[in-house]
Amino acid sequence: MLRTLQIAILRNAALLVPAPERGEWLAEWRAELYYVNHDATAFCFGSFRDALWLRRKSFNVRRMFSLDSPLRCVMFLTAAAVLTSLCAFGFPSLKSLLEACSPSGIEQFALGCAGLYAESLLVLVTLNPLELGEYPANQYAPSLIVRVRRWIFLNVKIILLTSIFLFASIALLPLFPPAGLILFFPWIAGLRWALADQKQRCPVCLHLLSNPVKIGSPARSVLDWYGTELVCARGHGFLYVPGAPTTWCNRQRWQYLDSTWSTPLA
Amino acid sequence: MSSEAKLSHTAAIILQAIDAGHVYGFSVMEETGLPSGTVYPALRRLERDGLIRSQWESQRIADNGQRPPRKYYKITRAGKVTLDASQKRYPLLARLFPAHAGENA
Repeated sequence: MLRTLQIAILRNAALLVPAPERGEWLAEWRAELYYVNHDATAFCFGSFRDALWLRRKSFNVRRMFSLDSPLRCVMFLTAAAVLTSLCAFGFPSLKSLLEACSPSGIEQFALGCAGLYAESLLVLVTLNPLELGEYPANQYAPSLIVRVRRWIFLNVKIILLTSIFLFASIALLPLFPPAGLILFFPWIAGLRWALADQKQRCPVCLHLLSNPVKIGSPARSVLDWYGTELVCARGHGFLYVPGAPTTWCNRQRWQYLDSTWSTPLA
Repeated sequence: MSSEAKLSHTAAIILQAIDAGHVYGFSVMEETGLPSGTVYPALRRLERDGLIRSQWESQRIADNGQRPPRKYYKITRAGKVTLDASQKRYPLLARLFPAHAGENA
């Protein structure tokens, strides 16, 4: 019972350790715990200090603003949406507008937002075909839930981006009336970014792909494939992006890998 | 790395303990009397500064002993130079763990 508690303490402390080092860190502490014959619980509490030290060591500003992780990407967009909404609500004209809003007015506002979301999807499809490439299923393909999660992530990004530009235009409207029209173009650019970002992510873990490698040569495109190969750092698969669309390879193609790849690529 | 001036007394004691043959974190704790929350971060700092290096014990040896494999630490050449400098600075340091413990170094 006590040993279970001690392991639980170590596991909780491990959450503070940066993910790449977590496994080894926990293995070391568990191995050390095996030899501790007195004050083992106090020994385990010391792990928090060690974990915090590793966390502080790994902290860097560039990584903090990296959108590599899907959670960080969503958090960044949420923070931007909250910030722009605060700007929008901060203006006296909008405050008075909201105060005067009846429940039906709020309902209309919500309907307007939903309409804007639908419009953004329409714009996205019109300007950029809504295809993310070929992801042929093989025996290593993930479950349906994992695949659906990818589309949910894309929709969350679109909703948050649309909210950002909606709030930004509301905030700027009293100061600069054509703001709504001018912000239309960055909004389109934002939607295109959402799609491009999605194409650069692993369909399993949704992290950004890394280590792009150029393969082949444009001069030999008749006989051989050329383009860029990207890999999921967690070993879920490879992405092949053609250098130039051909009749036999006109879209990017994903290849799922089996779990044995997770160790060599980590 | 010329870190003689930067090495704290605690870090110097830990380095001395490792040099004396206490090559595991818990062994260092027992010898120095320092708590785990001090010893392990100090070990990581020393390793980051290149004064010690760590290595996992082979799984085969651990299996033979029916215990989990341990990570052991070894002093590097730079660590030895720093330790010598620290011993000049703290003359009692060398007398703390004079004999090699003869653990699995």
